[in-house]
Amino acid sequence: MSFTSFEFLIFFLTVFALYWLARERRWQNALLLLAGYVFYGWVHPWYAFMLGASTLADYFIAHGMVAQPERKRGLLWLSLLLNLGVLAFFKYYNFFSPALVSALDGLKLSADPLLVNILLPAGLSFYTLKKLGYVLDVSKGTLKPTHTLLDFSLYVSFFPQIVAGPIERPQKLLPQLEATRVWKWDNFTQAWPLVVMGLFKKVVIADSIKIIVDQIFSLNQPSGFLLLSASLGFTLQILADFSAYIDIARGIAMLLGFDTSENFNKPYLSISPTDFWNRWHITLSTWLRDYIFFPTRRALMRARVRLPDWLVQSLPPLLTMFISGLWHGAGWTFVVWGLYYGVLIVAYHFIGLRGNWKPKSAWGIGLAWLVMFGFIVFGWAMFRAPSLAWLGQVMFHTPFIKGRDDLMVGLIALSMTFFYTLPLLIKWGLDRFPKDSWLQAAYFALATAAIIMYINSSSPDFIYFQF
Amino acid sequence: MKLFLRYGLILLALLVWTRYSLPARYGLQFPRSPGPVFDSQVRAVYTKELNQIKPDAILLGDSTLQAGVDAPELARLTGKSVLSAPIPGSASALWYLVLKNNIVDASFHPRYVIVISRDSILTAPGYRVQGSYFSLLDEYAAHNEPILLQRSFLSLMNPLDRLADQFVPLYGARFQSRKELDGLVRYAVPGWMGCDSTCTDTAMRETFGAADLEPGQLRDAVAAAERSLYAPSQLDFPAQVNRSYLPEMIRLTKAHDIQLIVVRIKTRASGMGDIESQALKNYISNLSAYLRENQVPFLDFGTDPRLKDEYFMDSIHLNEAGQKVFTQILGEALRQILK
Repeated sequence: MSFTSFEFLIFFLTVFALYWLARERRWQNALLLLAGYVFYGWVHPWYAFMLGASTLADYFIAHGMVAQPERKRGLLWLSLLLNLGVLAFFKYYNFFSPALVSALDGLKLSADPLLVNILLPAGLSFYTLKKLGYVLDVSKGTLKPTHTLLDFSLYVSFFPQIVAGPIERPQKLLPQLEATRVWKWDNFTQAWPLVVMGLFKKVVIADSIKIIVDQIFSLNQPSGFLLLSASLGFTLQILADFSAYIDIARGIAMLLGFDTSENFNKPYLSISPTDFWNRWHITLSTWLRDYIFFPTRRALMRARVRLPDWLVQSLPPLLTMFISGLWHGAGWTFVVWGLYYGVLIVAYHFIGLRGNWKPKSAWGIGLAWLVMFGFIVFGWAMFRAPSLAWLGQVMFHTPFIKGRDDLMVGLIALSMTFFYTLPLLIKWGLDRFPKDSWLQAAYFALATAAIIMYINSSSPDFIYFQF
Repeated sequence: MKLFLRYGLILLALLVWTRYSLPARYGLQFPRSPGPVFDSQVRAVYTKELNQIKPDAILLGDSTLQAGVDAPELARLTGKSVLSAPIPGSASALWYLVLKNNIVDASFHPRYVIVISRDSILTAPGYRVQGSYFSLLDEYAAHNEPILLQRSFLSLMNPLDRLADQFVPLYGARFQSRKELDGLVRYAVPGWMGCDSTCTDTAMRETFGAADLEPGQLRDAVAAAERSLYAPSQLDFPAQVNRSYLPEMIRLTKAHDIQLIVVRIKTRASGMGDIESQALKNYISNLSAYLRENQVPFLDFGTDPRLKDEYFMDSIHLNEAGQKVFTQILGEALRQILK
């Protein structure tokens, strides 16, 4: 069920009305849990079954860790095996399924259609990280496991977040689930601008620019100029699409009385790769930082054999970003994209531009931004390319401009990117004005008019659903 | 709350303004009947061909017909004259229109109309009717097409959609406004460089011609587009059949003494090769029973082992070798039916 669909509107209005009529926290949570499973199992009911089974497993594993501390290590491994095993199976299954089917054919066994057609359950990567974070925190003793199965299940299946995040930490969401929630008009006044902005970014910006971006990335051998223009378009598309989802998710959560995490902080204003990952998909970055980067670095620093400093400094970011790439998808483009950021972080570190580095002059900042923006756009080209071979071919063996037609199409893509970026730039400008000014109100009204004009004319899938 | 009230006021003003400006700009009436408006021109290309060629049979289908059947060879195999009418990008809505507005309207009626379909496409009235497919439909549609409007558009609109389409010009005229806006963005910069709208459209067409598409991407795009035909709702034959054009196609052919024949061509679009899901098996068995009940011959090559994987150029189109094999198989089967 997509956030921009009519089904979702009916679903949400029903849940919203019943939720605030229920008043009692337990009933509200039970309703949200039911809503989460209906929402998640809407397309394939077995997705909901899988979600339920894995939630139960982690709930009991976490309690087992507290009840029997001596078995903590074994239980932690069990949870890691279960969660990462399921994730790896679904994420990489399609890589191996043709080989599996032909092997079965070779043995004169027919493959079951269900087995051949296994689809990656939407949002599996997101809720797996949520559960893993919970189990890891319980194992470290930094979090007490919740005693209510209902609350834990709801933490995992909270419907505004289940499909594409944010990857909320238990420390933030569980206390809110355990607290009484009463309706305040503040919920509404904070939520509606997020919902309008989210719908605007998805329906008007992302879905419009997607058309020409998809067309160019589908070409057999586009010119370098077309690749550049499509990469800039994709840079806009992925931000608009993903941040739209997060805005709507946060708005919906707010209408239900929850304060959830922001996932973006003007990522394209970054001046270094570390800065970028502090601003882009923040909940994933902090998850990777806390559960992969820091533990790896600690382990290397405490290693019995003294390791060279360059290795201790390079390995954690490389490993973290490699895992980030793998998390985003089963394909070399994603792996190399992850490693690319790992290499960039290491390179910036070794030339002295580490951590919170910031040039002193405005020119310096401008230059650093320009360089980093170039790296970001190139990164998205890698991420969106059909294959690395395709990218290499376009970059090194195809002329930059093939002819007049090519130039015109590239210019169209660039002008569309510019046209659909304008509303975001205007919004950033308007954010300097008071939040309740007439200018802000006019912006939201025009955005709503644009949504009415653009809705029902493009594909409803959010890009991040596939991860 | 102040922001929301101000927002509401400005939005209301915008809606009132567009209530008057858009109908005037695009020559539309509001409130109006929901759904698209068709122009009054009907492309009658097959009417003319039927009257000229007077074939025994006409083949209807999309690009899979074009790729999969060699019409002259089929005519030789069956001993009957055959007119092939492949319309790339078409589906059941367009086949119904061609039957109603071209074949039935011709002064000469062929004895047989052979529809080359695949899996659930015959009972998917909403398949290939939106976006650029709409222009294709509009070419063959008359101004007043109540069945087309109901089955391919109104039945797929939700209540909010219908209301907005009827009463809110900003929504009801969205295709016109978007076309105008897209045109502004698309043509502005090339225009400054001396490339007018025709030159820009040519550049787009030349650049994105299907021949220059990356094979993997093309394959994926075809497979993704076909996926909707395998959704559980589409494979629910009893629920779909009366919403589809099939009953109307049967009625029209019977009323004009034409024998309808349905052919199911093999595809790999379900993603399962030779393996059919239970839902698809049930669908085909229901379709077969329904057609038998209505005295419509059904030739099912959906799982024919003679159409091997190497005969496909993507998930639905046969290659040259595949065309030879399929034409042969189809010819042999049709010989029993065409008398």
